[in-house]
Amino acid sequence: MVLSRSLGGAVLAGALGVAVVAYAAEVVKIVEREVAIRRDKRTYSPRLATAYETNDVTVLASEPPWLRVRFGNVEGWILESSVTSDPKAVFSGEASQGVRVTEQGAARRGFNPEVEAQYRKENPDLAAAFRTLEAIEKGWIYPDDRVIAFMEEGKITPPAEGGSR
Amino acid sequence: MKRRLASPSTLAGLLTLGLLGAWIASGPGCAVVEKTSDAMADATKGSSVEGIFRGTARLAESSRDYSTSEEHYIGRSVSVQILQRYKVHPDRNLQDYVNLVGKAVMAAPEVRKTFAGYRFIVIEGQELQGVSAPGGYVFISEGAVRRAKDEDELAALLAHEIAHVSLRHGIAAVKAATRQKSLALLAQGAGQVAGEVTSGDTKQLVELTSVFGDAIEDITSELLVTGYSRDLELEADLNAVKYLRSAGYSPDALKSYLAGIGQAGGQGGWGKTHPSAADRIEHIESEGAPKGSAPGRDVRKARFQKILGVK
Repeated sequence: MVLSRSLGGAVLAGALGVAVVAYAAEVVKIVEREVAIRRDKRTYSPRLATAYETNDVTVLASEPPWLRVRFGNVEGWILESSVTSDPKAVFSGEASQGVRVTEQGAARRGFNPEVEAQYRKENPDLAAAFRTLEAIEKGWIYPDDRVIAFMEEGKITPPAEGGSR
Repeated sequence: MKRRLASPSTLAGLLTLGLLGAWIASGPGCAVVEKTSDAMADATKGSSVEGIFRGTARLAESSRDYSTSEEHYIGRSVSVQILQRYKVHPDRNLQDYVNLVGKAVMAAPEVRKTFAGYRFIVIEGQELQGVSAPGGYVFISEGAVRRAKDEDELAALLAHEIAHVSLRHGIAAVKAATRQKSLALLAQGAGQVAGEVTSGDTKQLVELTSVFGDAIEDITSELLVTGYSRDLELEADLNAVKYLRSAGYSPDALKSYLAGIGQAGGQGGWGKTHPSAADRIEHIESEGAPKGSAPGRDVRKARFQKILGVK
């Protein structure tokens, strides 16, 4: 997670040696290609909405490693590692959900699809291996309901969930 | 004899330095350190601790890490290097099963999620191999899978590799020289927007690709030749045990897997890149990691045996 902290609180925390983390409804950006906004603080809790890389979400509360966020008119939970408040953050520049890359204001050029394309061009011997990887990425998909059914069949119950999944 | 005491300002500086060190060590992220340290330096301008805050901000800037999406693209190309050397196991049922076990481990909220999610790829070969590329591409040999006695031990094997990804051990293998070149190019490109390559940018794209290639080489070399340091392997073990407990698998499954490969006499491919099984077990025990077997282990063992054709 990359979130800025309440400065006054942080200075006080430094003086007292205690951790103070306060969020004043901070707007942060999604760093994953897509993220489920979950109903509860559980990895496979029902999905209320899907946010995409560079989308803004508003942090309402923090219960590490979870953040309660507002996205559009939906409120739910995501993991801290899914967002950044770093103004210098580097995004992929991938176009998603109709947002053109040039509209993703904070996108600066780092290692991204353009660089990978150039790397592939310079290393044609890797073409077959890239095709294998892409077939795996596109073909091996495991939706939440399949994972949940697998967990239930194997009687896998994360302790924190108290069997309430 | 009169003992000379440090001045209040020196004490304040030492206290601040200690707190900052502990804070950075706890891993809040370089951007947080940089941003907050700069703000603190402004707030304490003129005081004896301003320089400490200012220096901390610069330190964070110079060690800025690759972003989540950059990690993904680095990981894809590292994975391609691995796929150049190993064949994907053709049994799709086995691949699906291993992926579902991996996804179940990821129910642990401690696992850091990646740009495009984790994938678990069984590769051919009876040697014990486990390699995880940045971004969540986990490669496990059929031999390593078959050495597990049940699903919980397979989950432990995957949890160890997930921990390497989650803790960004692969990205940490990028050498300082490569990082410095990356930072310099990023600074040159500040203000530019991804997706807009003009003729004037072509040189920068070529340079960036060259550094990208260096990063791939740095990581591939560490993953496949030298291996992670003993400390990183042991750190992955401890985190794996935590993930197992949080996910609902048996926390002691990693120890039992390691005991199994230790008794089997040697570690094949792992022998070159991992500490000994005995060393790893001792470390898990000495750190007081969670213990015990999770409910339903027999049910999962029967499923494991059916998928792997074990009687």
